[in-house]
Amino acid sequence: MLSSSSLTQQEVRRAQKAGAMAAVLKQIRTTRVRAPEAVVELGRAALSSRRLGDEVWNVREQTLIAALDVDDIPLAKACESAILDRFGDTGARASRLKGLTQEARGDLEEAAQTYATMLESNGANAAALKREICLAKMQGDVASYVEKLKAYLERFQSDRSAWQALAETYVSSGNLPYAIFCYEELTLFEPTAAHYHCRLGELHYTDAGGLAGPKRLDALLKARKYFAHCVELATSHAAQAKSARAPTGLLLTCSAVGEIKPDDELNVALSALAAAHLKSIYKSHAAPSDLVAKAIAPFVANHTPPFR
Amino acid sequence: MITDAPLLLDPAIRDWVVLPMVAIMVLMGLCRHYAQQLLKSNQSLDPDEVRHKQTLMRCSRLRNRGQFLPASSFHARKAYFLTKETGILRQKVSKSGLNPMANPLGMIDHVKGNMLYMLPNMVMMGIISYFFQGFVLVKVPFPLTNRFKVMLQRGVDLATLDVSYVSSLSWYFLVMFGLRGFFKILLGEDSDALDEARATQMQMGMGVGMGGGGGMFDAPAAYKHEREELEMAHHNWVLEDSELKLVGPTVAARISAERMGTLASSRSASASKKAPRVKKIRKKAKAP
Repeated sequence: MLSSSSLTQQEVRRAQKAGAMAAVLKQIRTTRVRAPEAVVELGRAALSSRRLGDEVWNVREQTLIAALDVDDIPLAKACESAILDRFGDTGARASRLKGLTQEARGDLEEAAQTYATMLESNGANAAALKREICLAKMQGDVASYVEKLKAYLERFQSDRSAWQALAETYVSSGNLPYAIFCYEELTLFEPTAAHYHCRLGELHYTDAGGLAGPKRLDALLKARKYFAHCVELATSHAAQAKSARAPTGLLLTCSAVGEIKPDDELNVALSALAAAHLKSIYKSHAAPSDLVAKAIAPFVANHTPPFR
Repeated sequence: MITDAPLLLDPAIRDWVVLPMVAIMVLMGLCRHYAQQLLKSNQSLDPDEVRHKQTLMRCSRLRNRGQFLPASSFHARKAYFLTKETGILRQKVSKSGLNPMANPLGMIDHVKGNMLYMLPNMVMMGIISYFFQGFVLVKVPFPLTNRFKVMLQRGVDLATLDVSYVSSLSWYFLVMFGLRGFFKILLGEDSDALDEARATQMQMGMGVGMGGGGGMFDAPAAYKHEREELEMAHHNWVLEDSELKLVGPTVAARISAERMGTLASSRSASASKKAPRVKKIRKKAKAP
């Protein structure tokens, strides 16, 4: 997949010259890259060239959303009024765009009204439901935001981003077991994704901080398993092998377990391994390698065995 | 006996049969496309059905990839789905989508779609086999083996005719299937595929193989099936030995040997304790 940074200014200009703007825009649309600056530039040029045929409405919609993304209100307004003139504001697609522009203008109540009418005609309109959730978040109403998100998830249990949004909300409100539940759902979507396992390890480790006795040890051991799994996954992926997140987590967890069970052989072995990983990762970093390696040395020394 | 003398095809056949046939089929394809657009009712998916399908998908995710969850989390979810009376999969679900007769709109949609494909094809086939029966329209410019006779010479039963000659009915079929790419260029890519909202709705509704697609989704049967499958699901936390894997085989072997030792000693100690419990369970099993 293209990343937004790969669409450089140069490429944008070349596309304008070649008259291939529509094709590039379509490519962006189908691969769902988020590159609002490029889309605004290309879309403005493409719309003024008037050679798009039926494609013009798709381009208008795309440009409208990108314009909202970069806060180019006049352009968004122009696209919106063109679309609404042509299609009216009764259809689901057009009224979503209308709601989006209202939101961008700051007319949150009007936007809410728009979404409500959308939901009246089709109660299962996922787009409208999502916008309502976003409105609640925008207004800072956390309780209603969580309620709405939960209600939405009850109907659309396959929406990954909703699970993640809910999880992060629970994290920020300190409701860690709930967040862990959400992340466990996310691992079921993609069991090989190392970052979900890493996050679960972090959450269990953080959760252990508020617990005591056998529950604390239990949480720590779970965290250690997740981190170990993540380190193992990362070693087989060259791109992730440089991430210090999982080894750091493993080191800290082992250190915390070591306070409870100082003689556990596995714990000692894992801790040594995490420290070695961490050192090698920081050594392989390019420029200020010495500085970084020196800076983390006391941290590593603090958390390696012996734990007494 | 195969004669080497080539069959001469009258140029009039080209002008009055081959080209008109292609033109008719292109026009028919265009008509069908626009008729479909006109008749398409933008009926949204049944919200209940979407919910049921997603529940089932989540359930099958749990069944297939549940090993990635710790035991407690897996069993909590299993209980959420399967507990007697309150479990999600034990709820009574309505058969709203089951009977196509109960949902006449859905059925009409289905029939409309079918009619648009079937009817013109049947009529055209009838016309062509009525007017041009036995015609040989085209000669492909390369030799072919005998097996292609069925494909290229439908309606012309001549054992001695060279296989590279194409009969009228076969030409019809060739053009019919060959025009798909041409229409793609002419009408543009299917715009529905790019319609984001529709695509996501489709994606959310799909994924559950059983019960077929569209209006034929049978929620109660799918729930029952999933319930039985999930009840059978075993759980084994994959991450249980992730630590041992990470530290390498030699250390792992030593640690696990140590563990086995401690386990064995603790088991022998608790063996006497466990015995009466087993008896109790047996008694319970007999009681009802």
